Amino acid sequence: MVMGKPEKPWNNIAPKPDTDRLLTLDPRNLGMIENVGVGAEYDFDADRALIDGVTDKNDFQSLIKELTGKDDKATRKLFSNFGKELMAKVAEVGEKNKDRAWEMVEICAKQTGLSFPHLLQVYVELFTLCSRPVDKWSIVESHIRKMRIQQYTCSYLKAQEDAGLSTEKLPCQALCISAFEHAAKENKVPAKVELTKQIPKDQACEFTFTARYEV
Amino acid sequence: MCEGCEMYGKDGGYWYLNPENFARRIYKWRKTAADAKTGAGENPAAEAGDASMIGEMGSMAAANIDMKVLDPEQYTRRVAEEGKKFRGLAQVIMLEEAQEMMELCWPITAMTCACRRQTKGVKDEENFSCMGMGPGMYKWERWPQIYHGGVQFLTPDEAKSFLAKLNKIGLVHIAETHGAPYTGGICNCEMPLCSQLRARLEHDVPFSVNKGHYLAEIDPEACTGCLQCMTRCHFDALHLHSGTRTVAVDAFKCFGCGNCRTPCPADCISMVERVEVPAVKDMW
Repeated sequence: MVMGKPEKPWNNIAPKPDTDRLLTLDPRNLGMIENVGVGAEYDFDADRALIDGVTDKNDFQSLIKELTGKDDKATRKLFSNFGKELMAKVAEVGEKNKDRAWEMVEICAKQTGLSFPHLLQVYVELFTLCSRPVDKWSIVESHIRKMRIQQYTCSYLKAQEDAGLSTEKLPCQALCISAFEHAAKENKVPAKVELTKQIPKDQACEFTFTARYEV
Repeated sequence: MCEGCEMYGKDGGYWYLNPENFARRIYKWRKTAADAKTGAGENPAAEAGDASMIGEMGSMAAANIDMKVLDPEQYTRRVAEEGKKFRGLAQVIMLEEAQEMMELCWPITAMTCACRRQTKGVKDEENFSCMGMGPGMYKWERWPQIYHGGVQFLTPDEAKSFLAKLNKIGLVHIAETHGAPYTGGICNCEMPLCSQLRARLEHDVPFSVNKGHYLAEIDPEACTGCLQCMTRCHFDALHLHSGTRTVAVDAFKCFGCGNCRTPCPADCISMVERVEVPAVKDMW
């Protein structure tokens, strides 16, 4: 006979993981007493060597000189080429210095079939870190439908203003957009890129990436 | 509206359904030796993740154990001080809300529960009941103690199904921040194995986990008094009314997990918003 309140089913067993997809720790990192030692060490952060690696393609002052006297169309074309070439260089140097977080992004994309947004976010972040290492920016939204990055300060914009170039129509947006589109195309990430906010009107440049596949 | 929603909600919505709370950079520059010495970082909790909170939780537990007995006035003051410093936010949510979150974050992983490992010695292969979300999961190998059993990346649909299975066996979903407002996990908990539920329910540690935005409401006309719902309540919030022989909800104890609804053969339990019940609208 049951007395009192019904008992709770404490013998609950959670669903088991898919053994084919389960990622496990390197045995050296399991913390067993017999494994005491350094363990497997990984780099999870971007390497500062990336900046040095892309310096020759990040000569913005030379681009500024080229822009002087050019019309809007020609200016945008130059910005676009600069962005595309810089992103290609970031990808080239980055691939040689691939960190564990990047590897895990690729594993996740392979396991789930969803490369958007983070495979693209890796390139967008590394591009931003390498091109303008002191600027302030953040990722404000990032899921399988949409990704948004906001750039609060921009050294490229400041360099244009210092050189007396007109930034009213923000022609340099072509630089960022072409760089991001290049990364999406090269990595076969189905995404559309738009500039949805602009410095100085909105206090930030916001780039919105929308997934193109049905999710 | 709870404090979490006031601080981190968007357009009057719940904080755990604001997509901006799930996003974070994957990269930052590795600190130089000089940076490391100064402990650079705008948000120490976000920098260190859970590790920075353990000290604060420990302080709060100590405050509860020592001061509650020694000096109630000092205890109240200390809890308020610690609470302000505490950058974590945890709140009970319903299955539907947890599933909605799966559309707002990426990546999503299934992982093992540290509480069950510690309190009951549950084997890793039978312990996949926690979920980690957000870009921090790409660095899971950094914390081998937490991710002892490994991780499995899930698609949003797989994650929703995973949550439904956990809900079916009676676990309570809790949305967690790892340095608020960054929302990095859903714990699927049960009493008495969950350390944060025990902190709240047994040791009265505020901030360890907040009540949810909903309350269970039982239709007394339809309730048959079968008591199935009572087997699912982790908060001792359901009672059998001797006069009507039906189950009643103690609104002061209900955390709004919605678990009691699942087994009800009469389908007589619904959820109402906490703010619609004046007596408990400010009790989180």
